[in-house]
Amino acid sequence: MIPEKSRISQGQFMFVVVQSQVGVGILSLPNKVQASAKGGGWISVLIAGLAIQVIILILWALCKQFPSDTIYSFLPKITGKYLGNLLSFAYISYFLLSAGTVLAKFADVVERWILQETPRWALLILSLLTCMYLAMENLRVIARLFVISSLTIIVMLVLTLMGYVNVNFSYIFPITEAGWGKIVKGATEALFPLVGYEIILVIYPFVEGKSGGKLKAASLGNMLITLFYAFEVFTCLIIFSPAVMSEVPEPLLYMLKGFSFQLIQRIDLIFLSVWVFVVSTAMVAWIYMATVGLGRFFHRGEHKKAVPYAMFILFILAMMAQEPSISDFFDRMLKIGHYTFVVGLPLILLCFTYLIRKRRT
Amino acid sequence: MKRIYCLCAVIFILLFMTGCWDQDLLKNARLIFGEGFDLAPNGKLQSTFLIRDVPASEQQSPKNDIIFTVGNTTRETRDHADDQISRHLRGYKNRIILIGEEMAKQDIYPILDFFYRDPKSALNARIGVTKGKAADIFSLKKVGNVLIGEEIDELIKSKEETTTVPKVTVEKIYPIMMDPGEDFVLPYLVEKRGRVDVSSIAMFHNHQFTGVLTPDESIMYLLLKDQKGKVTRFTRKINIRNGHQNSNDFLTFNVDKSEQKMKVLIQSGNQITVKLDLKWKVNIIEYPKDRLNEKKMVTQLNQYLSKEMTDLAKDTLKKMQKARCDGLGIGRQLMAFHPRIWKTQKEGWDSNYQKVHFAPVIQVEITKKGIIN
Repeated sequence: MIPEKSRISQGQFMFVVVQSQVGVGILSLPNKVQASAKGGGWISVLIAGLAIQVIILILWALCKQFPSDTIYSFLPKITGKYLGNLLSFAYISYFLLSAGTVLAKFADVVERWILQETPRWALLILSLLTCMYLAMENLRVIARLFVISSLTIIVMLVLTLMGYVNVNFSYIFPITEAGWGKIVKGATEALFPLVGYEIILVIYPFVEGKSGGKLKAASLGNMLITLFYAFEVFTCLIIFSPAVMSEVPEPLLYMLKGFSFQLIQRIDLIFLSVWVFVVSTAMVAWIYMATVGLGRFFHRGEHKKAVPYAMFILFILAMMAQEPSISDFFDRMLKIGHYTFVVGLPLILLCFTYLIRKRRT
Repeated sequence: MKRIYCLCAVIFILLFMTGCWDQDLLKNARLIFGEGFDLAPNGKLQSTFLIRDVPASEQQSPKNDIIFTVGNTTRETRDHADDQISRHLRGYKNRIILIGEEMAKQDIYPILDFFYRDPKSALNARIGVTKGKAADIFSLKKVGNVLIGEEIDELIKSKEETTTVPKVTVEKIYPIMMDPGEDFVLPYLVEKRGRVDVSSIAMFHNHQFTGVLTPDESIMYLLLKDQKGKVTRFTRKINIRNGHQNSNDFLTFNVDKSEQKMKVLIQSGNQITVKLDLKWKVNIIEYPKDRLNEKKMVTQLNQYLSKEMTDLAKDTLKKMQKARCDGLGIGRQLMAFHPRIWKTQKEGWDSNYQKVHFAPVIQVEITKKGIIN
C-alpha cells in the first residue's frame, strides 16, 4: 500500500504534470517548429498537445487497471516476472536518459548565455546537488514544491508579454504556407519538448481520489502547458521574421535580450534565472520516476537510496553529451524511446490486459 | 549530522568557485559608450570607440576617452583598441552605434554580426548613420556641457518622441534586415558647427544605405508607417485665395491623432497598387495671419492642408521608391497575403518595387486651435 505521507491530491497531481512537462524544450521549440511548419508553428504545438491528450488517455486507461501499482509493479503482473523486470529496467534507462539530456541541454544553454567561463562539471554538480536535495524527499514534498514553482510560469508569461511592444503579425501569414503535411511534421517536433507526462505511469497510485478525477487533472495540466507553449511559439513567430527564426536557436531569450527597464538592462538573464527553476523541477520529476524503479529493485522500495548513484549516472551522461555527435545520438535514442515506451508499449500492454480480463471472465 | 556538514561545505565551495570563472568586475572594465564604424582608405574598417570613465568620487564629472583603430572586422578593431588601453574593454553598456556614410553604402550586416552573436552585447543600443565620418562626430567630444555620447543618445531619444526619426535599436532592425520583403530606416546624423543635428532619416535597401529623406518627408514616412511619436509638427506655407485679398503666410500644426489604413491591391496585369488612407486630427499651433473663428475658413484650410499633405506623401513615397527602400514592407504584405503574386515578383523585387503604384490620401481635420481663435 502507499504510505499516507507520500499521497498527493489531484490538484497537486495537475501541477506535477505541468512541471514535468515544462523543461528545456521551451527555449528552442519555436525555432524547431518554425523550421518545418513556418507560420503555422503554433498550430503544430496545438496538434502536439492533442496527440499527447490521446497518449495520456492510453496511459490512464492502463494505470486504471492497476489502481495501487506503479508501472514497475504492474509490468510483471502483465508480462510475467522476467520480461516485466526487463521492461522495468528499460523504462528506468529511458527515464535516466531523459533526465541526462535535460541536464545536458540545460548546461549548454547556461554555458552559452550566462556562464561562458565556468567549466561544465561545476554547472552540472551545482544543479544536480539542488535536484538531489529535492528528489530524495517523498512525493508529497516534491509535489508541494512543484505547486509553488508553477508561479514561475506566470512570471515567464509576463516577461514574454513584453515582446508585444514590437510585433508584426504579417510574419505568420500565410499560415498554411508550409502545407498541412509540414505542420503535422512540426507537431512531431513539438511532441518532445512536451514530454514528461509519462510521470502518470509512476505516480498514478499515489494520487488520491477516483480515476476520472485523475484523468481530468492530468488533462488539464497538459492543456495548460500546451496553451502556454503555443503562446510562446506564437509570440516568437510574430516578433522575428521567418529569415531570422532560423538564425536564432533560442528565440524567446533573444527577443528579451533587446528589452530593458530603467533598473534592469538584461531581461533575458531574469528569464533564464526563472527558467532554471522550471528546468530543475522537470529534472527532479525524471529523477523521481527513475529512482522509484531503482528503489523497488534494490532498496526495498526506498527510492531515496537510489538517488545518489542515479545522480552520478546523470553526471556522466551530461558530460558525454558535450560532444555534439553524442548529444544527437541521445536525442535520436530518446525519440525512439519515447515512441516505444510511452506510446507503443502502453498501447500493447493495454490491449493485453483487456484480453486477459476477457479470457478470465 | 556529518552528511549535512559535508553537503554544506560542498555547496559553499561550489558557490564561491563559480564566481572565480565568470567574474567580470566593473572596476577591471573600461566601458564602451559608443562605437563608430567608417571605411578606412584601404578598404578596411576604421572603428572609433568612445570610452566612458566613471569617476571615483561623485563630485568629479565623468570623462570620455576616444580610441581609433583600423582592422578587418569589428571584433578585430575592438581587440586592437583593447591593446591600447589599460584594463579590459567591455561592450555590454554600449549605447550608440554610428555608421559613417561611406561604410553604410556597403553591406552593414558584417559589422553588426558580432553584436548579434555575442551573448553579452547590448542589443538595445541605438543605431544611426552619420553624414561624413562617424569618427568626426565622436571627435566633437563635448556639445555644450554635455559629453558627446550622452548628447547623441538623448538627442535621438527626444527626436523619436517628435516623430522625426524611427525608434530603432540594434535588435529591432534585425528581423527586418533579414526579411527580403521589408527594409529598415535609421536616424541620419549631421554635424553642424560643433553640434549634432538629427532631423532626417537614412533609407536602406538590402543592408545598404541608399538615400536620405528631408525632415518633413521623414515625419511623413513615420506617419505613413503609423509610428507616430508624442509630438508631430509640420509648418506649411498657406496660400489661399480668401475673398479679394491674397493671404500668404505660414501655419504650424501638430497631428494629434493619425489613423492609418494600408491596403495592397492587385489589379489586372499584376499591377500592385497600395492604397494608403490617413485621417488626421490636427491642432493649429501657430497661425498669425488669420482668425480661425469662421467655419468656412476652417474647411478651406482643411482642404488645403489635405492636398498639401497628400502631395508630400506622394513625394516621400516617390523618393523611397527611387532609393529602392521598401520601408512600408509592401513585399512583406505580398508575401503574407498574396503569396502567389510574391512568387512572380520575388525575382528582382528591387526593380518591381519601383513599379508599385502608391495612392496616398490624407484627410486633415482641424479640431483644435489653441486657446485663442
